[in-house]
Amino acid sequence: MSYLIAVATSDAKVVDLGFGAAKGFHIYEVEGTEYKEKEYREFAEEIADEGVNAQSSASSVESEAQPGGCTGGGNGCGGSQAGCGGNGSGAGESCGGSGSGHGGCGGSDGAFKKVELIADCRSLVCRKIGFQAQKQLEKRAIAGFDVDCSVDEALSKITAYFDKIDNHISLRRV
Amino acid sequence: MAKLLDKQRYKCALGSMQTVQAIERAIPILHSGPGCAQKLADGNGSSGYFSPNIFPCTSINEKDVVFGGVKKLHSTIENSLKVIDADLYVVLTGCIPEIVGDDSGEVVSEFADADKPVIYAPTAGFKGNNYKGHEQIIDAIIDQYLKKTDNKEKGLVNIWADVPYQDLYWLGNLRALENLIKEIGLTPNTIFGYERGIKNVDKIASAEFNLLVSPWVSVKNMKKMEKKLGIPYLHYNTLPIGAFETSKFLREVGKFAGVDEKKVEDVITEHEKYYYYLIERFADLFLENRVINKQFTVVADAQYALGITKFLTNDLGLVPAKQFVTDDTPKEYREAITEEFKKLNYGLEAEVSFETDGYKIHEEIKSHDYHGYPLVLGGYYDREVTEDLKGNFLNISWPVKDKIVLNDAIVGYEGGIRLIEDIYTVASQRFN
Repeated sequence: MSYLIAVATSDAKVVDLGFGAAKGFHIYEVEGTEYKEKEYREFAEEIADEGVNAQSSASSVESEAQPGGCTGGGNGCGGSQAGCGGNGSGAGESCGGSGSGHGGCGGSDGAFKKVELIADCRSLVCRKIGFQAQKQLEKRAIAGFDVDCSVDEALSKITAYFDKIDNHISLRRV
Repeated sequence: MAKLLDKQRYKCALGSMQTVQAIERAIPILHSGPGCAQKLADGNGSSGYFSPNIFPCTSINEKDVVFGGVKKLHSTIENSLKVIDADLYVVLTGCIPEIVGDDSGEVVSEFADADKPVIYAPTAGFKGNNYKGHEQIIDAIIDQYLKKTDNKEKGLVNIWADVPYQDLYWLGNLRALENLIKEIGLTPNTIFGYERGIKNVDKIASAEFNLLVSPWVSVKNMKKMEKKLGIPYLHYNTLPIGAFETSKFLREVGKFAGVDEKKVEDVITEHEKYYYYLIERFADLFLENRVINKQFTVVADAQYALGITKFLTNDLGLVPAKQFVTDDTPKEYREAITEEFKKLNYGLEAEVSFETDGYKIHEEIKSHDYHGYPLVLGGYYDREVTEDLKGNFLNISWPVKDKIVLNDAIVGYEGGIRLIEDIYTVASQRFN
């Protein structure tokens, strides 16, 4: 069965973009250990912003309540993260909205939106990835790899790995 | 069909990180998944300057499985050298990096010019248990650290015995062996425990001979040292507990080292006099046969099973039932060890079973006729079955939950007395 891998790259040759910096992802379709580029998915930032604005204007109470939650030390970002998982996308957006206003949970919001964009992928390859984004990926069982190599090297290694796992072949290198 | 192993008495080879920890100011660097050190730590005297909770670890994850973990290993060693003040850094590999084929040896070799020695031991769990891991550590020290020298020190003897932390009495036993060797005029050298450390590791190569007191653990190491460092060895396979075995041990070591016979006999006489004075004072207790059990079983590694069986038979006159060796002794040593169990006084022989499965051991204990209540010396796992049989139980092997040992020993004349005290304390409590 085929699956998808998202790659954060500017030229489709080298994995050169961090997860946060990527404006979009090259999506590769994999069948066994064969892979080919399927499409380019652009991350539309304005959609996220619109969502934020809508959220803020629609419910000022919520956006006032949120800063406390986000800046409240250990509970802040962790809390918002739990909110994303527990309450679905609505909670995630509202948290992100307040974050972009106060600089608290903005990363989490961006990460959340981007992870949404590649939710159908099995794996994500990028140059660097933040803690929040990594957690968002884990929540959706997307294997995140932050590597410093060419797209081909990354994809061949990852597809070989998944192929072995799927077919119950030992990972032992001879 | 996969087999289930019930209540095994050892850990994976990475458990030998405790062997490294026993060398003062030596630190293990783990190339393994996160949590290995935590799981393998015993919490039995393992805190201190370094403890398993702070052992540097590469904490490898899925990414390292796919792309290799050598970069992470390199940076972990590099930074360990920067922030941890140790004398010896020992890189240990767990199962995952060995399966996926990280060349840890290659990474470690890049640190050959570091200010402090960095060595490496492959200790993947699938290669064996922590007894074999212990051998790997010693091998790594011999291969990668020690250098042959012609500068031999007369009378200097390296002593190798228990596996640190796996054997609860390791520290006390080593010290007791040191004292015995000292008394017959030799100079002991051990590398484990208080104030030994790297300076004693450095002395290994200049020793006159190696003394190995163990049925099989480290035999390989002795052969390696003989070949590489030109150090001959005496393999004494019984841990000497109590007067009979200890006197025999001293005579044999004395003979091997060429110590004056009279000197050895004088030491023996002095010790035996006091030993039998103590025994004599309690002879009425020992002879009162309702106190102690007629037959006993030891469930322990080869070292303790053999040593304690000989002690209880030769010194206390008890009768051995079946004995269980639980350390997964390699096949090539089993025959010789089985033979040793037949060399008991009074024409007695002990049957021995090399069994790692706790369930099977318990079934055998339950079905054996001990002609009364059994005396079982074993791991904490054996407590319940002994209690069900209304027997007396003493916790002398891993896992240890019943006993705290700081520096007590069961080796030598003194050690035999300690063991008698423990056994009869348990036995007499029943009649209070």
